[in-house]
Amino acid sequence: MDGFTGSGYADTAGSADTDAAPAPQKGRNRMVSRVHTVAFNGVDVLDIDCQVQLSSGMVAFNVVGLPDKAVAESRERVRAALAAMGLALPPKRIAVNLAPADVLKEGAHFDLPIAVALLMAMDVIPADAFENHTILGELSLDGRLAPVAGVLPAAIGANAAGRGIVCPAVQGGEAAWAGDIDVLAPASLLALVNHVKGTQVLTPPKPALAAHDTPIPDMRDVKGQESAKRALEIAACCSWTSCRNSTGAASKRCVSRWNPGAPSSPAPTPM
Amino acid sequence: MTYPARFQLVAAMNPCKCGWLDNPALACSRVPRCAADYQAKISGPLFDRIDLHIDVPAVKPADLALPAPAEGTADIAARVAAARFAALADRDFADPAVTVNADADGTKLLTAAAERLHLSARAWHRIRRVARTIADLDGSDGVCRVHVAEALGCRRVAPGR
Repeated sequence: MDGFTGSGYADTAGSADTDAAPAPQKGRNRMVSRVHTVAFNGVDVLDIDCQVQLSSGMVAFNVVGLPDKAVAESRERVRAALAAMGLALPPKRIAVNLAPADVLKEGAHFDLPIAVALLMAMDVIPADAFENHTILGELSLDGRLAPVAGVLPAAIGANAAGRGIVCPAVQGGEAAWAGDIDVLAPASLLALVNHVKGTQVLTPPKPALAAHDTPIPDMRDVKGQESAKRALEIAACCSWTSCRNSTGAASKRCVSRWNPGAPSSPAPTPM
Repeated sequence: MTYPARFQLVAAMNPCKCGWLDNPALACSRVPRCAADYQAKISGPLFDRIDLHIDVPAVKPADLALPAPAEGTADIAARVAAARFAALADRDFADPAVTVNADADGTKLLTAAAERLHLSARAWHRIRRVARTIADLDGSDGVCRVHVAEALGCRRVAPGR
């Protein structure tokens, strides 16, 4: 892999020689690298500070800050994604803290901020590269970024905080709806590193809607069930709550899916 | 974004455990008591908050043989849009003092039905609103007896009643 000259962490044929890894913060007194990410409370976002510290001691990779199972497992994905770029984890004690530590962190979107903060700690990318960005994304083992839930609220939250956002490539169009913010949507961790290094700059995505690959069903395909269709029509008119009670095993679900309403305009009545 | 979110609940359930409540040939031996037991899993107050209840019987083979209906989603959507526009233009439903311009027959029908069916105050108001919507769909300025009757038909009838 290109673009990492001088990082000092090239995985040299699986060598476990600890002397081969120079002190990453040589001449600098930077203890902790940190990036911004988010946790979700419904659709509200809470700013999370993702901190990574490399210290001497027993070789370990720990994630603290009340992570749930998916977050704790991100260690393996981060390790594999770094390996996919030809980097080995430094043989040091790696501590990842997600602050505030009393909020439960759920979801796989912490992979990317952890990986980026780790790359900063390893001096692969400058520590101030993402000072003004909120980062979220799930890593796959080959370093590609998988889509995560909540990119739009995160982008809106980042916009409110005056920051840009880093999100998976397929969701760049979603993040761009948040307004005039700096959206970085790399396809992989390597693409993000190359962007920071300036070797391959990412183009900002345009606001886009998710592609509808399945055709919307049509009422014309429903035979019979006139009363059900009529009730759906009334419900669509005023957003009345409706419940159908059926003996036709498939028919009630069918008719629900064919609802002509799905009204995009606001309902005129309070529920 | 703030809660509570504006949403529309569309739900489906079977009428009884075996699902053949209205088919004497296939229904189990505990009909209709099993339907009452089964539907009692949903509490009455929750049912009361669901405004439109309809039975969706199994499609008959004769219906399946029919040609596809001429009216598609696009046609229905246009009618719905017109009714919603009418509802927005005429009245402000956000105003709690809104009254429904039901004609005398409709009001009488609603009053009689409310007593016979022991309708809750919530049901009473919801039926008036549904009737107003049906009148809008009809393109009618006033709410007539037929509109109230159709709205009443969408109230839930507990099994065995």
